[in-house]
Amino acid sequence: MHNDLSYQLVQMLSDSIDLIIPDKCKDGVTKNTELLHQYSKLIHQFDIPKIKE
Amino acid sequence: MSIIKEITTHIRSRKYSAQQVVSHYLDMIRQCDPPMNSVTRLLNDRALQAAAEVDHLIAQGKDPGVLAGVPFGVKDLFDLQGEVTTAGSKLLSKNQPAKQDAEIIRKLCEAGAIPVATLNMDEFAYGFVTDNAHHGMTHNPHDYSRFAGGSSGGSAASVGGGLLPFALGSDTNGSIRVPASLCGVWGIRPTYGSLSMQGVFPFADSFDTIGPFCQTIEDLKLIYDVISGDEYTSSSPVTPSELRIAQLGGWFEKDVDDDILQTIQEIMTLFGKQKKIELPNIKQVRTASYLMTASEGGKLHLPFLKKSPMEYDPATRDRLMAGALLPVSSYLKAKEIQYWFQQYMAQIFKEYDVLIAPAVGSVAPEIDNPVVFVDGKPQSARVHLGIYTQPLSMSQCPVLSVPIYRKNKLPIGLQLIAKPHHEDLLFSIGAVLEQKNIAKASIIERNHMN
Repeated sequence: MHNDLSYQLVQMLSDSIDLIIPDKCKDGVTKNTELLHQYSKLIHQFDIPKIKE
Repeated sequence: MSIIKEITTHIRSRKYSAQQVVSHYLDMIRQCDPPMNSVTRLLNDRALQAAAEVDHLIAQGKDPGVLAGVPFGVKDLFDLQGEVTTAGSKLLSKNQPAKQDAEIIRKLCEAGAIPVATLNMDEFAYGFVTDNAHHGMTHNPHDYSRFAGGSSGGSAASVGGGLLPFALGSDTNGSIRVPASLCGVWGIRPTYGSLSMQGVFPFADSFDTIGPFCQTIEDLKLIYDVISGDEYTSSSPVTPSELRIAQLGGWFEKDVDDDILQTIQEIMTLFGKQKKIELPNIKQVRTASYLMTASEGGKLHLPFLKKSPMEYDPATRDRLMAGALLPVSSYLKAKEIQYWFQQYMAQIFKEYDVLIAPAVGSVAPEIDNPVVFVDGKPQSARVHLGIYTQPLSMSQCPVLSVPIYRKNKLPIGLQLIAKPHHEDLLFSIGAVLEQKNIAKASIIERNHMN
C-alpha cells in the first residue's frame, strides 16, 4: 500500500474505535498495520484442511 | 544436585537460618546483578520478615513447608501484596500497590518459599529480548554482549546467573521457552488454562500461561507440583524403548544450527527412534498466533492507549495500536486456524507420546547484531526469536524447555511437547535426559554460604 493511502486507512480505522493516534506514532502504527494487513491476507487465503478421523 | 533441596535441608537442620539464606541471596543480587540487570526491585523487608517466620516455625518444631526458606524471584507482572505490579511499564507504576498476592505466589509462600525480588521483562510482556525502555536491557548471564531472551528475561537470567534458586515467568508465545534456552535453564510452559492466572497482569488471553524457571528438572517438578496443587512425588520412570517420540521436521529444522539438530538426533537415538514428522501449515499457524496476540493485546490496552499513549514504550505502543485496528474477520479466521491446529495436534498425540523440536535456532544473538535467520536470510531477532515457540502456543499443549549444556559453548534449548495435562511425562523424560548428561542447566557458580 502507498504510505499516504495506508495512513488514511489507519486514520479511518482508528476513528471507528475512537482512538486518536498522536502524530509521533503515525509512522510506527502505519508500518505495523501494513504488516498485520499482509498477515491477514495470508490467513484469509488459507483454506483450512479437514481433519481425517 | 537440587539447590532447593540443599537449601531446605540446611534450614530444617538449622545449619543456616532462613534469615541467613535470604540475606545471602539479597547481598549476592546487590553485588552481582548490575551487569546482567535482571532484577528491578529487592523486597528486603518482606523477605526478611518471611524468613523470620520460617525460623520461628522451625524453632517451635512446626512444619515450615516443602520450600522452607527458599528465595525466589517474580516477573513483575505477578501481584505481590504491598507492591505495585508494573508489568514492566511506566503506565502501571502509578497504580496502587496490590492488596494481595497472586494465587500462585500465595501457594509458594504457603509452602515456605520467599519472594526476594521482582524481575525485568519486556514492557507488558510484548517482546522476545527483554529490552525495557524504563529498566534497561537484561543481558545474558553467560555473555553480557548477548540477549537473555524475553519476555521473561529477568527470570531466566537471574536463575542462569546463579542469583536465585528459581523464578516465575509467563509464556504467551515463547516468553518462558526462549529465555530459558538462551540462558541455559529449565522452564515449562504448562498446559494452557491449567494454572491460575489470578493476580497476573494479562497479555493475550488465548495464550497466556505462567511457569517456573529452575536449575534442575527435580526442582522444576517440585515447584510445578506446588503451584499446580499436585502432591509431590518423584518422576515416574520412563522406559525409553516404549516411548513413542517423534522429531518435528520441516519448519522446525529450517534455519536451525547443525549442533542443535545433532543433539535432537542424539536424543532420538537414546530412545531408539528415528521418526520425523512434519506439522502442516505452520507458517499460517504462526501468523494466526501473531494476529490473535496483536488483536487481544490491542483490545486489552485500548482504554490506556486512548488515555495515555505517550506513557508506553513507542515500539510496544505502535504494535498494540495496530493490533487494536485489526478487522474482526481476521481475528475470527485466526481463531478458526487455532481450533483446527488443536484438533490436528490431538490426532498427532494418538500416535505419539511426545514431540521434540528446537526452542531457538541458535545460541543467544549478539545485542549489537540482533538477527536470527529465517528462510536463510537475516531477520530481526526481536520479532523472530519465537519462530519455533509461537506456533506451539496455539496448541494448548504443555512444553518443557530443556537446556543443553555444551562445554565452552553458549547454551541452547529444546522443546519437548506432550498432550494437554501430561506434564508428568515431560518431567520424566527431562529426568532421563539430565541423568544421561544430555540435558543440563548452565548456572554461573557464585559464592556458597560458609
